Amino acid sequence: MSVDVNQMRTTPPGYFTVRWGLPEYTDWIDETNSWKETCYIGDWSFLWERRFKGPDVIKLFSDISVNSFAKFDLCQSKHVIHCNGDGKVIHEGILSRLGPEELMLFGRGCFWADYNLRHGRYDAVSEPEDWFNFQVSGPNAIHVVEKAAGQSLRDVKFMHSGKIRIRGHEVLALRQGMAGEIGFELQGSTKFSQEIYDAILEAGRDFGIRRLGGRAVFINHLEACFPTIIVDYCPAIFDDDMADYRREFSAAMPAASSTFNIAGSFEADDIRAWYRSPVELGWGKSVKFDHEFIGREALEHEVGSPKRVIRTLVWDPDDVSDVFASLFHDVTYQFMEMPRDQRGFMYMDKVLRNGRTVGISSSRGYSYYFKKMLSLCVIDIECGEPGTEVTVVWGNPGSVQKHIKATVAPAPYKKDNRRADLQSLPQASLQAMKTTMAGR
Amino acid sequence: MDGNFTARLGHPFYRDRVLYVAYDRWPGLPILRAWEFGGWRKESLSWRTGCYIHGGLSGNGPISIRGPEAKKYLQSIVINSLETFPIGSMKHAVMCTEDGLIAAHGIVERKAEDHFESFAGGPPGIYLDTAAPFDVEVKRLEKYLFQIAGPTSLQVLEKATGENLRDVRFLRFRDTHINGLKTEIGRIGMTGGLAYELHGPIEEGPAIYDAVYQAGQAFGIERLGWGTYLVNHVEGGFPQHSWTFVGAAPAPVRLERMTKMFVVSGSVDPTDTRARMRTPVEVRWHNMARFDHDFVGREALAAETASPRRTTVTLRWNGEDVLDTFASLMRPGPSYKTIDLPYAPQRWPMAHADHVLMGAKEIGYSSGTIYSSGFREFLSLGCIDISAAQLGNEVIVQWGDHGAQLKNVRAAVARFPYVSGGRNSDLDVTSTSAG
Repeated sequence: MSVDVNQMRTTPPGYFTVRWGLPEYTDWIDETNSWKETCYIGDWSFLWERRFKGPDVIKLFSDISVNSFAKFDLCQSKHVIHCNGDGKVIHEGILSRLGPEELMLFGRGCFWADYNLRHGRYDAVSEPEDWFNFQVSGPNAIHVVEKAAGQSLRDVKFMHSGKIRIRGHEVLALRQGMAGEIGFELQGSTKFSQEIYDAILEAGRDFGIRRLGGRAVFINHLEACFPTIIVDYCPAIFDDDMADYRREFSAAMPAASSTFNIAGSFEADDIRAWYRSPVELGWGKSVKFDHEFIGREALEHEVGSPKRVIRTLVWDPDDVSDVFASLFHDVTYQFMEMPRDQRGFMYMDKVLRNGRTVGISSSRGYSYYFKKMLSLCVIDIECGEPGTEVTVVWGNPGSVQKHIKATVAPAPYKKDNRRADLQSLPQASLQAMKTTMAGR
Repeated sequence: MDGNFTARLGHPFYRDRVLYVAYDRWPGLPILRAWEFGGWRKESLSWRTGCYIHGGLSGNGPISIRGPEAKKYLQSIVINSLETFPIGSMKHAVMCTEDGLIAAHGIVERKAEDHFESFAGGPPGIYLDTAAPFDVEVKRLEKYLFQIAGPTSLQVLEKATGENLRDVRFLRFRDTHINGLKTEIGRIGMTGGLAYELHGPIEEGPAIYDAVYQAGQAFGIERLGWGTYLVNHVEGGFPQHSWTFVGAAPAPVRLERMTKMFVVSGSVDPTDTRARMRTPVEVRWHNMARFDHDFVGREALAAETASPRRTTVTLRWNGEDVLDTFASLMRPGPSYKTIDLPYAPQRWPMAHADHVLMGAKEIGYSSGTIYSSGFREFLSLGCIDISAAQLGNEVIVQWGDHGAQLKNVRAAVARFPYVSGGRNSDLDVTSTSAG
């Protein structure tokens, strides 16, 4: 291995959350409540997109993804996961089928797919795209998008896109749910992104829409258990045989997105200890052995006898309060940013049971909706039973550490409402919505 | 959208592509600021143990006042006397409205007989039009403004310039060079202790910033982010427009300006502009006023000086009450407004005012809430009745937003300024050992 883990314990400059715009629009508590009570618009336009075309595009993605492509309809999208030979996640993202031989990939996987395309024998081409990605998520998302588009979206199935028009522009409305609620991701050319954003805000005014700022971002992922690159796992690109790709990847990324800064009590000499498999991240159901793909063998073994599972940890409120209380003491514990880290660390804390490390906690964040400090935890399967009591070690190695009691809970922690039946939902009643808002 | 942090980059000084946090409220002033570098705790200890460099006031801002009537014009708007104001010296100049509220304040340099330069929102601030009747040219400049503060700041600057700088007395400035580039060094700062500023053309900012930062490596230099920059004002006892109060606009547009240009917060009614503005007397700057000349607001200031009502103190917040706001987030029922670290609320530019009570009696306002890593205390600046300002008095700060859940936080009236080390004005550096 060519990386020294200890040298990765540095503080990245700035706040990585500026990608989402301002830190707060209303305030972070209000914004994090939005996807449970009304809805938000969040700006994921910084994401990378790449268009893949040609007769072999499905073969390309089949070769580098754990997912099955036996069924992949036009206008369907998949959460595709790319692994290395050891079955650890390199990247993951959303792949949409725009045509019989045309796919669009969103996320860092663009670079990996293109790398494989160029180094393999595929009858296909790819080109970068620059689209906007606006997430509209929460129970009112359907009403807001319908109002902005002036048409019904009730027939758009989960993980499928509807073609709609907003202010005369063609927009794809992908029904997904990154807040664990009804959600649409609006996609289209950045040429008219501002118009679309404004139209959604205007349509959303009567539905209590909020703008999602940088501080609130990822609390949705935490509540709904969507583990995320760098936040919950390190991309498996540090092995020697990935050196060539890693160079390309780093060169293609803005500097701020290509740093890997480790923090937290979890320690290891090998960066691979920060890698995760799709099984560990809760994506086992997406792994299908109906095709050959990189990492298949390792994953067949792991699916057969999984060692670790992902869970939510609920942190003890008194122990968390102690961390704040230490602000007044000579010895202060590591700062607990509210609602979560803003600096862009890979923040991993070791989780103990009876003195033994049984898991690794990440995504520590505060949910106002539940009034609890939560984290995601990849934990030994025998400790994964909800209700199990564990201890999170808070604080970097070599600094003063605080043991925080925590209880294992299911992941996602919040009920999964993504697939709510839109047909049975009533049409928007503005009066009812306004009443709801007034009661807040 | 991508443009949020790549476009309109106010301070392109940092080689390592720092990301910025933006508050897009104030057209004409830089809107993008580096919020945090090595971490706010490390940064906020820097001015005790080493020093910091801060570049957040750079960009479009400094005002050049030049012409035959430059002095006459400036004298007509500031409360200070310009009679003793040698070339090469600085003044903290204060400008009032007709009704005696602080409209603008900041450091003014005398560059020549007929030439002044005003920094960081100093007079005339945003009221450039006040010069109209005078034979004077008033224009905005683009300059870098780097603040280097802390006990090792002198050594760092001597290393960067390769020059003995002991002759630069408090509130004096002169030219020096860094790597062949001319830069202006002035002895002034916001920590209360030893501190300097460097000024020069914005194009040369990156080279100067990097050179100072490199020179500082052996002297514990930290790059200071905006989040921590505001902390030092409160520790150092420097009430500051856009932070602990709002520069007053003319009465007819006061509310509109405040609402439009500032983030209004606190337990005081958001339409109450007065609670968010200050007079020179209220922030203890009335000793700067000289009634030997006519200036805007003279009558009001004279009247207030004769019978002052309020003064500024440091308020030291009760730990249990502060912690209860955190604890309220983790128990059922309503929560209190969160207290951001290291300053709260984490907004800028701010128009914040919390009610301060003694017993049941309203005695003034609190703003500039910070957590001091050095003192391990939560502090704010209180502008309260002089009759209630005895050290040790127990008061209540009503923390929260008007109309929402309020937390009564007990606080003690404490010394002002809160830092107790030697003041920049009193430090004799001629005998300090060279770096």
